[in-house]
Amino acid sequence: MKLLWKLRFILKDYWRQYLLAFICLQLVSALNLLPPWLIGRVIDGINDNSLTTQELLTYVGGIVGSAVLVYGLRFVWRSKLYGSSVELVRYQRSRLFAHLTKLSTVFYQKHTAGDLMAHATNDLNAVEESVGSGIMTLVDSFIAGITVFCAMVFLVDGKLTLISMLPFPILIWITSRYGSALHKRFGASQAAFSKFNEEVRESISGIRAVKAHQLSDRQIERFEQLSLETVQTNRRVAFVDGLFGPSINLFFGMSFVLALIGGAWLIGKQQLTVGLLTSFTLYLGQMLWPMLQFGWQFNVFQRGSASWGRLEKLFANQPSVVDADNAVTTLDNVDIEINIKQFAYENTDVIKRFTCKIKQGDFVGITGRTGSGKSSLLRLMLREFDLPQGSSIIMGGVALPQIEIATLRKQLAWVPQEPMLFSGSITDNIRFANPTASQVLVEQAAKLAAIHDEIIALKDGYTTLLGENGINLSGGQKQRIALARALLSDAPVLLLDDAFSALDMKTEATILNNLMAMRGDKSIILVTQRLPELISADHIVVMDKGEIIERGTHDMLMQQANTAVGDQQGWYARIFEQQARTLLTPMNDNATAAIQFEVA
Amino acid sequence: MTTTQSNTDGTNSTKQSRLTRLKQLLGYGKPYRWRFAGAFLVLTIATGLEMLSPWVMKIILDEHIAVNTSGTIPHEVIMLSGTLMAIFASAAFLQYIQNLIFQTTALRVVHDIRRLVFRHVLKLPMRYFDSEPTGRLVSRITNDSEVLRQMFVSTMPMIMQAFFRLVAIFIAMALLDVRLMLMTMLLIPILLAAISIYQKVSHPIVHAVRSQLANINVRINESLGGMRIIQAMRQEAHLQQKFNEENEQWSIQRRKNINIDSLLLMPLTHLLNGIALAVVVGWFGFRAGFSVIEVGTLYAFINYLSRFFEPFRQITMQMSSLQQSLVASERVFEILNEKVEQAHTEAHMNSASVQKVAGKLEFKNVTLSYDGKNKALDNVSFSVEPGAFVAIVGQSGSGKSSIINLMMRFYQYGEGQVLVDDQPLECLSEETLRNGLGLVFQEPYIFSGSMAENISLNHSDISDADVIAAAKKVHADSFVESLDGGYSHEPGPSGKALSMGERQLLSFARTIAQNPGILLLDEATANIDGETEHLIKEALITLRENRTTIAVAHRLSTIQDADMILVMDKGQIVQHGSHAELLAVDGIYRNLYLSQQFEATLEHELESDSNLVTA
Repeated sequence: MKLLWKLRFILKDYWRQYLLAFICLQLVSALNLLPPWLIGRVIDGINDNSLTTQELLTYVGGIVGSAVLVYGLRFVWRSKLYGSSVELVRYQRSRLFAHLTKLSTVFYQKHTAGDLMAHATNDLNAVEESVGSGIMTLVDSFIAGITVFCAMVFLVDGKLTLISMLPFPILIWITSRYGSALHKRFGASQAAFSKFNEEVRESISGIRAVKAHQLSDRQIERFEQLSLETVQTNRRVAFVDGLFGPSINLFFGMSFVLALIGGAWLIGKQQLTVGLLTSFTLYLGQMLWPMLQFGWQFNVFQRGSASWGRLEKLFANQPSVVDADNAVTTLDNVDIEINIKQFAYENTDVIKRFTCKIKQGDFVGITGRTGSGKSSLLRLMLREFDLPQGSSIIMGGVALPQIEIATLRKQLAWVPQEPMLFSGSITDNIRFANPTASQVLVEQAAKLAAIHDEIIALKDGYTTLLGENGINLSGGQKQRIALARALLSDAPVLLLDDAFSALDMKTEATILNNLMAMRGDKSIILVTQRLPELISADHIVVMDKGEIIERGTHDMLMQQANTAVGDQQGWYARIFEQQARTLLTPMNDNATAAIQFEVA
Repeated sequence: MTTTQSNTDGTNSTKQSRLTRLKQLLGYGKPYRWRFAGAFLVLTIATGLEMLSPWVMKIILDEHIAVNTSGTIPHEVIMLSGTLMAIFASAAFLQYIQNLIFQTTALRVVHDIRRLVFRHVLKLPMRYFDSEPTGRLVSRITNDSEVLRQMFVSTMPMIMQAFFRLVAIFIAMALLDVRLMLMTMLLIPILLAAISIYQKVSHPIVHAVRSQLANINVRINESLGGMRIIQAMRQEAHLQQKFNEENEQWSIQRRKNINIDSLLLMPLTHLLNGIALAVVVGWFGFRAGFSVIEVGTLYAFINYLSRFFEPFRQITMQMSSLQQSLVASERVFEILNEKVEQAHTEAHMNSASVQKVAGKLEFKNVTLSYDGKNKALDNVSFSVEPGAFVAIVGQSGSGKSSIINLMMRFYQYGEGQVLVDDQPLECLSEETLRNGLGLVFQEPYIFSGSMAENISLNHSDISDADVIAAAKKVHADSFVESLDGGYSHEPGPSGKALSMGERQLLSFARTIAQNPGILLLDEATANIDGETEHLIKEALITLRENRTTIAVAHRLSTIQDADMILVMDKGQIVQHGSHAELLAVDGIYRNLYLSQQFEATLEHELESDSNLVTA
């Protein structure tokens, strides 16, 4: 019932549909009373030989008429009620999606996509089921039950109703007992099944080991044992599950027999006619279904209620990064000034004592070991997180929290480590950030990202449809499409997070050349582990454990190396030399291996 | 016109295959045919009893209640009510029994099918597993066979029951009034037409709803995955709009679906029932003008009429689950139709007895291709004396692992010959092969079960004492004993609770316990912490003692004491000799060695340097 209260807003939004449905339902219930009663009249008429053709035609007409009317009304209420539950789910799904797009990174780090998917599918389905069929069947059963009950009492006989309905409470009690027993046993069988499933998975994924160690017999034995376990648990389910139908038939039959005996008694006392008894037994038949539904729908309801609870929790999450009141919407320039005393994530320091100034048009390289805080720095610039007091990132003279989020992100074109692509055409993916861009611009961006030739070599060229997350492309192609996408967004600051890791050196060099042509106009912030990319950078920052350990231009950093001795040699210089050597040493006699790393 | 033609042809052929599949499926129930027959008998009796009750009602109404004016309940009414109650009770009881027999037998049939499929799968060649994703195969063995159960539990009995019911209803109706029965029969074509119209109209829409929902889910899923880029590129509103459009499409289709259901399903049968009722009542009323009819007859007729619609609903419902069962059975049978490994191997297997492998090994001009086009091994020849230590090196894809795959008979080679102790590999019995050749995987596979089981692998000839001795030899005993429960500790699925090094040691113990004549070592590449690495190095030396060792090496530092090093490139052996010999000449081995030295230093600095080396 709590769910009903929580969902009361739908009554507000859809009250017209609900009212209409309610009226139709009530009319259907009332009209359904007509045929049994008319049949009773006919029987009585036949019995005492008073039936005229006129009367008979009226009765028959009444039966047909009510059947046709009921058909029409049923269509209307079903269409309205189930339709409104569809509407409800549609609305909630859109709302959920909208909500998800607003939540910040912190939220996504705590929730896996799988969990969120489950909310968006299973929970919404459960809500549809409980709101659509659940509530409506409940209301339907309730109205129909009451109406039929009234007909039995007032049109036929109260005493007879009382006698014949004696088995009903027992039936309801018993079926609900079955229900809970079934739930338990079903749980056990599910558990057995998932164990079984896991065993099969193990055998299949370890098939090499199974074959190599000659384990077929062992695995078959275990398999059969677990399969038998599922047989056992399923049998236990069957023992209870099979009870429902027969019990209903039995108790309903009992009620029937009671009606018959009571009817015979009342007819004997001239208090009832045979026709009315017939009507009564027909009413009794109409009573059974609503009664059972009432019990069953509570289960559906409970599930829906739990799901709704989970969805509400999800809706309660608020974005942690929000626009400030009167946030700035225009920036004079995109000079960046970073001054981070300390930034911790989940009690671990990620960045410490980091300062850096990036003028518009600068090319800044950031390097360092994996996990040294390079990506986190970019994420802070994108304002995926807010900085603590005392630390700040300033763009165009304004601290990030004071800039409208949309305005800030408009300045930044980010190419992530993992290129995230979407299903749709290549063109759509490239103009993702700029959906109205012309094909000419799209191709220009693709050329800059050195992917154009490979795209037109595809059978469908730019209209090639990508699978989920670009599944039909290689890692390097994905990276370049992600780059083209960022270039087309035409933001003044490029944030490249290890964006060329899957590219061969030649392509990488081409792209770097293209990027260098934009220097002075666009700021380029390049996070990389390939140091030769940074030779021409205006400024290089080497990070370790969240701190800057070296900084300067390439020449400066290499110079330090020459003056220092042995272990004192700088990290940058040491790694650069190693990489340069590795890159230039031909590793096998393949022609492609003899690559010269060329930087403008 | 031509397209229609081909379409109908297509459906015909699928119908044909459906029929054979249905036959095959039902064939699995054959061992239980008597149980099924018994269940059907019980079902028939139960249905008959069910159909008897309106008849008894008719007798009570006509002969006792309608003529009763005594003011008390006639004795016969009590008697007959008792009979009626007894009928209800026994019908209910038989229904339950019938259901239980069907259920339990169906579970057995499914168990049988699963056993059959699983045994078959284990015999399939490696090639099959390469092309079939694990998840899909598992789902075929478990989920699809679960769907098959429906066939035996509900589809088969329900359709039978519906049929029995219809027959019983028509018999009862005919006994009551033949002409009315014939009139009722007119309903059958109408109902069938309604069902077929419904299926025609609703099928595309149900399909549309499903695929639209799938679209929506894909959209949500990928938006969740790409949320950071969506937000960074400020596309929230744009995506929202596209999402809303999809969602709107879904709701339109879903509403259509609801409307069709409301128009053609339950409300329609109720309408037909109402009209038929009117006809029956009119008929009886009309006849009453000429002769005295019995009230009970009318009552019974109405009762049968209302039961008449139920079987049609049942059949319609079961049709879709029959469909599902057939689809599932297709997937299961597909597995069973896969060819198992060559039969001639089996013939040899039976003839050859189990023997100890001494350790002599020879490859003579061996060629292997996985796809029939590219050669993974190209004319490879070498020979190894018992007790020798041979290392195979080369870049990934050069054919190193293929040599191991061949020797383990995971794949069948094309040309040439592989000799083990001067006998062709394919002549060795399965026992000899698996006991004689011990393979240590690059990533050792840990099975669920205890640690001891993971060492003995349930081979009966390996005692508990052997297990402990083996663990001691490879220094695995200390970590095993430190575990909760020691050797009876269960490491859980895939041994995730154990570290990589511990898993490696466990797999060494496994191999030592097996005591093979030839050791095949696929060296681990993953990083192992310092202390364990030391243990592993020592254990490796223990492992190699007194047996032929073929090691696929990824790090050259571990094989410098090999008797012979084979250098592979593009499926061929391009260099061979000792470490010192190979280092002395300019070639792949030296280049590999030099670059690995860089790598070793680099590895300390950068974790992800692999991109640098591959070019």
